[in-house]
Amino acid sequence: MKKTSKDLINFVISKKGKLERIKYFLKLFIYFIPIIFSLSSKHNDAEASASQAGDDIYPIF
Amino acid sequence: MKLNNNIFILGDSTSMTVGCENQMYPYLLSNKKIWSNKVKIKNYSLAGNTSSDIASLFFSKLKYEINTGDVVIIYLGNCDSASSEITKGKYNYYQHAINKFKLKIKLKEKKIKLKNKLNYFSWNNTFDSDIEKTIPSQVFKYNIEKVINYCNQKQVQIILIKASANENFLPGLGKGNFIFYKYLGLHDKISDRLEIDDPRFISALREHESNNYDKALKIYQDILLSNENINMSQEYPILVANNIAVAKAQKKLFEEAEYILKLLLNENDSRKEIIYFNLSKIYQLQNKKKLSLEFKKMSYERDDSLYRIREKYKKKLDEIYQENNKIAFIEMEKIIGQSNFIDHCHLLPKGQKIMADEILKKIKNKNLIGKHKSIIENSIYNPELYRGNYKKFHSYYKTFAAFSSNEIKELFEEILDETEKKIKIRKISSLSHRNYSIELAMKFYTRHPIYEVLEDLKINTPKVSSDIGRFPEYFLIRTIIPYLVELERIKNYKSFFCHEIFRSSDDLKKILPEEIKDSIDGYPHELNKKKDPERFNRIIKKCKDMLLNHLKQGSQIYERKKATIFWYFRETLRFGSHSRLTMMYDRVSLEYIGEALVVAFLIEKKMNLKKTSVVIKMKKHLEEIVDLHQKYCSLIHKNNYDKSDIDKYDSKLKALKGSI
Repeated sequence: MKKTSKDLINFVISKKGKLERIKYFLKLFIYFIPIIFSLSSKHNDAEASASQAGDDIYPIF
Repeated sequence: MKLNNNIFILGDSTSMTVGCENQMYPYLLSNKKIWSNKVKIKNYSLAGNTSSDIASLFFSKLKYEINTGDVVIIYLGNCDSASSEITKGKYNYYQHAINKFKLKIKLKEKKIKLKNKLNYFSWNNTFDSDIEKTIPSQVFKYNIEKVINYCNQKQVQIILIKASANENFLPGLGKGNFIFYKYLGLHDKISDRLEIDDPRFISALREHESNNYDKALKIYQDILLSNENINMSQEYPILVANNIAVAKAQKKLFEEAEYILKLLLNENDSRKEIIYFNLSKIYQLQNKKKLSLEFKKMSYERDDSLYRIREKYKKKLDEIYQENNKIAFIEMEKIIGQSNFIDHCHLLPKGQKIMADEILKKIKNKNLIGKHKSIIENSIYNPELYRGNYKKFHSYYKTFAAFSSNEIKELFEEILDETEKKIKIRKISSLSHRNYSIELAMKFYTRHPIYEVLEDLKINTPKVSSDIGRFPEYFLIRTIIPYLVELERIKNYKSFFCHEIFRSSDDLKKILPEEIKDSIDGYPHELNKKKDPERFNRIIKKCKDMLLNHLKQGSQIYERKKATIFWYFRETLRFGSHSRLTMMYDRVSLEYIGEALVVAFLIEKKMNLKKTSVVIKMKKHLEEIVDLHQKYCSLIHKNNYDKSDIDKYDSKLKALKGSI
């Protein structure tokens, strides 16, 4: 069955024991670390121009 | 309801369908009248696509489009083999979740800025090869298998192509400072175009290119002995040593050359693929065939800078085929010989035809077969798909500048706001503008002979955002089409320009993005204006100057080969991504001259300037030059780039200069 991020959060909330809930919240946090890490990575959007030559993964001059 | 079945192509530049020549295998497939009604060839191939990008695109977008009975063609591996500083890896659930999340929150994806810039004929002192990685072969396998497994579940037929590439091409051409290295057997003359902080290097290279090996060696050795005052990277002395070894080999001092190159192999910063290549050439000159082949193979396998599939990736494709008995497998090296390549990995039209026929043989679904042609639906994105950037090609590469039509109009009114006299003499190339992209676009226009002074821009003024975007050639094409349409309207005129160098308006329309086509004028308005012999003379003079300059350079085979990475993409957008004989010379300039002669001809006829003979003469010169290029390039390719053929071609071109 297809699981969405919402399903995962609901799954954690459905846990009744406090310890169990903390355990799953921690797991969920670890699950989202790569997402948070990826979103926080720096980008630089240069001005649109032909001066971007050589600044593409596949070069265009 | 019965669904229409389609063919999906997941590939890189080896499957891309752009440009006007339509020689790529997807075009050849679609043009056959063998498809049932409504079959579409949906092509997602773009230069730079790796298995990671394709897997990302597949699971984020394509999997919702694919139905039972469809065919998916996978032709990848050339770009996975090339290193990049942008990590591309397994398209696993984590990466999928990240990409989905970014899509869901509509995160505005920004282009990644690279540290290792590929400089245009200039030295990059900060190039660091350690920050670039290729996609590991097991990851390549993982990504492709993931797509295949999904298709198998959906009962979609997979045709997997085991790519092959040009084993005889020069290694190392895609990264860093390759342009400064001498390759044994490549007699390129580029020293006048190079920029480097140490002027002694240019002097040495100039002597080297003129075959003054002793003088060159003296300067190279001087650089190695006194290198303290110049702040150059560690790669610099290695480069100089490589060039010393090449000069020594050219002096037939093979043992010394071999010794130096082998020493360089121990250096961390040395470009191993280039060193192995030069060693292979030394052994070839010494008639040590086995050793030469061995080193050529080592050079190929060490080359992660060019887009050429390597053995470890080929092996993974074999494994995929062995583990998935349902897929159809095409092994290129078994059906297509090495003579079908001119550039690093793209097939000549003959090879494209073999490929198309082979694919047809593998298609099992009889519902796809009928009596119609099919349509190609091109969906191109960008080479950052893996990281969740799903911008379409023109948005990613900024084909359309961020200016409205009114803003562009105002900008150019300001630029053209000069006195009548000034407008006729002020060169476009001398203009500067506060917006650098506009300045660069205007400079680009002057590559075409119909743009020289400000008045030429007043006749055809930029008005749409693509005119000043990343590809200013779209402006040149957009403005030349009305002249070609007018020429084609009058039958006698068209038959006069029947040589293959003169493209039709339909050809040029194929190059333009759909969004631009509506802004093509219906008629060249300058033909309604008053007589202007100066414009005619200006075009003819620039055509002549360009032709003379073209001939003065002689054969450009070596230079074009070495600088492939600099011209490949732009020319691909014009011609298509296949290999072509016209790659061996500056075809674009000659086509621009052809277009300018059409404009001059129409002006002359409309205004009755009585100068038809001038156009005829120039047209004859142009056709002669193109025929000479085609004749010799075909011969040179056939004879495996023999130096004596290239020398003969060079002298023939230079001799033609005298006749103009």
